[in-house]
Amino acid sequence: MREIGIMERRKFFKRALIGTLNCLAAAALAYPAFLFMTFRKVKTRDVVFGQNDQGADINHKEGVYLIGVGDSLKALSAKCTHLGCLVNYNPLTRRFECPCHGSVYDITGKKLKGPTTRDLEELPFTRSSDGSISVKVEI
Amino acid sequence: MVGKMSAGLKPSRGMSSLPRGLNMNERSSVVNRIAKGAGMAVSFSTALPKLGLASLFICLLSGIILSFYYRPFGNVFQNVEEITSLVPYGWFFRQIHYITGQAFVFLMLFHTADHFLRRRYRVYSAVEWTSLVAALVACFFTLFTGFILKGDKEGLFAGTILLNMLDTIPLAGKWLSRVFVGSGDEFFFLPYLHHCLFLPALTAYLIRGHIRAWLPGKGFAAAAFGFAGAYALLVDPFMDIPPEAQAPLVRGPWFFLGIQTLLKTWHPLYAGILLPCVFVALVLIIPAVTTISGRESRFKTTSGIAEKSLYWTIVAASGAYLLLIINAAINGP
Repeated sequence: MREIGIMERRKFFKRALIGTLNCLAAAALAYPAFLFMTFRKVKTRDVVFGQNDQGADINHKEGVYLIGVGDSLKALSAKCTHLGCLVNYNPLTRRFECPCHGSVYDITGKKLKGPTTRDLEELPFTRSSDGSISVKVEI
Repeated sequence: MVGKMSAGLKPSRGMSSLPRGLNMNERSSVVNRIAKGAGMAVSFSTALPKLGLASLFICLLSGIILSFYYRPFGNVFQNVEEITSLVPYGWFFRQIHYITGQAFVFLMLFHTADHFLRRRYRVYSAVEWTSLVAALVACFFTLFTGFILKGDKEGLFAGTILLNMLDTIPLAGKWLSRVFVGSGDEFFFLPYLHHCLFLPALTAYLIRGHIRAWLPGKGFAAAAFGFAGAYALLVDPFMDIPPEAQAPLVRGPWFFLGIQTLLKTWHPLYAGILLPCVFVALVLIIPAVTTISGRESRFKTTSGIAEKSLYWTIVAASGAYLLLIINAAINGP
C-alpha cells in the first residue's frame, strides 16, 4: 500500500517536472518570438508649414494644428487623447471636436467635455530662416 | 420557427438520456431525429449553416481575386478606390466580398443564437463549445479587420481605436496592441495579415470537427451567389470617406456601434475590453454549469438555477446590446 503511494507520488512528480520543462521550453521559444513580433522602431516625421500654410490663426496639416493666438504660436497634435481619432476644428464654436466619441477641446487644446481625460498633446516645433515652421510628429 | 422549436422541444430531457460516447455530429443528428420525431421542422436550423458555408466559400474566392490588386501599404484609400472605380469588375468583387462576409457572420450568429435559445449547448462538450464560440469571435474580428482595410477615415479610426483600446489593458496592452495593428506606412499590414491568413486559418481550425462537408451544396452555393450577385448589381458601394476629409461623425462597423456608444461614457478598458470578454466568458461557461447539474444530484437544484440565471442573463445582455446597436444606427453612436 505504502509502495503504491510512493509510486503514485513519483509518477506525479515526474509528470509535474515534465510539464514544467515543457512550459519553460515553450516560454523560451515564445519570448523571443513575442519580442520580435511586437518590436517597433520609433519613427518621426516632420510636418512643415510653409509661409503659405500659416495664413489663418488655425492651420491644419497632416494631423497637426498650428495655432497662432496673439503673438504666441502653438503646435497641437490632432490626435484625440481618448482613443486616437483625429479631431476636427469647428470654426463656429472655435473648439476641437472628436468625431468618434464626442470629446471636445478648446482652442488651446484644453479638454472641455467628453470621455477624454487629457488635453491635446502639444508638439515641439522649430522655425527656420525662410519663415517655415517644422513640427516633429511621432508616428 | 425558432420560437416554435424552443417552445416545443425540451432538449434537457432528451439530451440527458442521450447515449454517452457519441461524437458531436452523431449527437446532433440524434437531436435532429428527436425533433423530427416530435413533428418539428428543422429545415431553418439546418439551412442556416449551409447557407453560411456557401457565403464563406464565395467570400474566400472573391477575397482571393481582390488580393491581386489590393496592397496594404502606401495610400490604401486610393488603392481601394481604384479597385472600386478603375479595375474592371473591381466594384463587383468588392461588393460580393463585402456582402458574403457579412452574410456569413450574420448566419453564423443566427446559427449560434438558434442553438443557444434551444439550449443545444447541452449537447456539446466544454471544449467543443469553446472552439465554436471562439470561432464566432474570430469571425467578428475578421469583419473588423476587413472594415479597417477599407483604408478610409472610418477604417483608419477603427484601427486606431482598436490599438488604443488594447493599450489600456494593464501590463500586456502595449505589446498586445502591436500584434494587431502596425504604425506609420505599415498600419494596414498587420490587420491585412490577420484578415487574410491568421483569422481564416484559426476559424477553419476551430470549426474543423463541426463541419460535415467543407464544400457547400450546389443549391446553397447558387442561392448565396444569386443573393450576393443581386446585391452587387443593385446596391451601390458605400461612400468611403477620404482620410484627410473632415467628417462630423465617424461610425464603426455595425456590431461595434454599441461599444462605440458606451465608449462615450465608459473607460475604454471596461467598454471595449472587459464587457465583451465578460459576455464571451458567460457564454463559454454555460455548458460547464449544465454538466455539473447533470453529474451530481446534490448540485442539481443549485446549478439548475445557476444555468437558468446564466441563460437569461446572456439573453438579456444580447437583447440590450442589440437595442444599443439599433439606437446607435438610427440616432448615431
